[in-house]
Amino acid sequence: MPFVDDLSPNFSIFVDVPETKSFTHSDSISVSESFSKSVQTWKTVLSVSTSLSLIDSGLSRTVTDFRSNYTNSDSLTLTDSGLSRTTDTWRYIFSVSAGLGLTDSGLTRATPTWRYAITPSDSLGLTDSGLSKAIETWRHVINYSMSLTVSESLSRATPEWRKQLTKSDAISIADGLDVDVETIIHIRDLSDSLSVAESLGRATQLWYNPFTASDSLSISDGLSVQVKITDDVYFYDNIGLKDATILRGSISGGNFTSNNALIVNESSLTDGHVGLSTTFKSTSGTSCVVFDLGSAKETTFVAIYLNTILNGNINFYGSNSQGSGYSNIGFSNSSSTGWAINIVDDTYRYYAVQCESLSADVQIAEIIIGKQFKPEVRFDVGSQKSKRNDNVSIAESLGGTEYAFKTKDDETRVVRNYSNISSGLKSEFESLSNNGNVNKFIYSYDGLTYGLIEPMQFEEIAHNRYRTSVSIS
Amino acid sequence: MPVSSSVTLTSPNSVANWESPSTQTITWTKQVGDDHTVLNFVLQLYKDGSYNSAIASGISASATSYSWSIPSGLSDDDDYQVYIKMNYVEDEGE
Repeated sequence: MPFVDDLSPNFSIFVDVPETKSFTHSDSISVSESFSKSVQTWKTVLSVSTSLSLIDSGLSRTVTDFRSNYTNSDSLTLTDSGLSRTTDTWRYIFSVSAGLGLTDSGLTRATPTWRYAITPSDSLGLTDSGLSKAIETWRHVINYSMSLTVSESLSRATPEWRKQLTKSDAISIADGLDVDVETIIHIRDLSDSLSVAESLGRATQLWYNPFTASDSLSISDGLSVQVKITDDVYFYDNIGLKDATILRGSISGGNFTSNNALIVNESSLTDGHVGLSTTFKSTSGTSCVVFDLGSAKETTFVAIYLNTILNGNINFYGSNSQGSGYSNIGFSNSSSTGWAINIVDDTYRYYAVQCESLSADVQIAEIIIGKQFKPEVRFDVGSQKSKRNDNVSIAESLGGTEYAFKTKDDETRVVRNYSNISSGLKSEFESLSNNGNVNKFIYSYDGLTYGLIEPMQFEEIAHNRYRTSVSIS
Repeated sequence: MPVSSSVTLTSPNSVANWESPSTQTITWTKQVGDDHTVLNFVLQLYKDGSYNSAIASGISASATSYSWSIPSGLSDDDDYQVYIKMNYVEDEGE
């Protein structure tokens, strides 16, 4: 491409350097001035004097500036990042002459953490990360004997606690959005005046028990206790599964195709008896049952009792249309015999349990679908688990010799006493009782077991407060 | 006598003393030869007789100036030059 060109004569370019004459060794630059000064200005200032006060802002300084200019009197090291600390942080750190360790990183501590932590009597390790040390923060709060009230949430984020916990703070109950519901309920019911010294990590069970002034549970105790409390759950058919219409066939691509030959003896699935099984045929590799509940109902678990080892997969589907629109809502990862409880959280009218990739027929004895029932209070201390011994009969021969016969296997019996429950919880127990009288249900206390519940009785011990017990055998 | 094409920078001149960073105007004049059509202009910065950096390219054929934001990071010196190139095509004859 043709072109013509031209070149200008030489000309000058000069760099904008601010006046330096105003900055002398004795200059006292205020913190507020630092905001308006550019990096270049600072560089200039620092080049003529290194005696700038440490309270001068670090906001616009580069790491290099800090590194090169504070070596004489400052203990900050090359790893300290001036950019990641705000003016206030720097000012605070220097004003209290905190002995920051050389390895402290400004990057991993938020300004509020530093500000809070660095007080003359603070014992927080300076190498602790501000972002991840909830435990240390709590220890700090406890050291200060702050009078936290019961209404204050256990689950507040550390920064929020740090900001609001003063002796006059009035944090409302509504603040505790993330608190375990059971915990709050227990605390309120007992009108317990929990003190700060009580651990952040206490689980519901421990909260529920009386505290003593000398209680010294460690934070780590809370974890294992929380696991235990979640086991106090009843799984039973509270959505009318036993009355549901059962369809047979298979689901593919979200569509249900009816094929009665794929399922044999489907009524056994909800007969409350694990001795009789329903066969899921492996003829086509996939076979399912669909429960039509009549209307959409919320479910939170699907429990399955396998009578044979599963050679394949089990998936759960839900839809509000019988023939189409089935979405996968969960799967069972258990292939061994016995109960397997699978947690779901869906609301549909049609629920399907489908065996897939089958290489052999599968025998499923029971399916229970419903909502987990978690009593809002823990059963009492002294509840029992025992074995019945009424299984021996005595026969006497004509010669007068007595023979003992074991008439049946020992039977485990579980009794759970609830000495003070609300009317709402009473209604839920009544529902459990009404269902459990005729259908097996699963109760998880030390693993998985199932049984029949005996009729329950309720005694009103105060206005709208009841006592009852659950006997399972 | 046929007219030939040419381009001539009029700013910066030898007394220019531009600050970095700042915005300055580069100006030029052009003469378009017979049967020539200007396509665009290219501006570059030279220092000490060697290419330093691009200023702009693809400047409109009708432009006679360009507002240059002098970047920071240039050193203090008096041996900078601006180079301009005018690209054109020769019209096809009838």
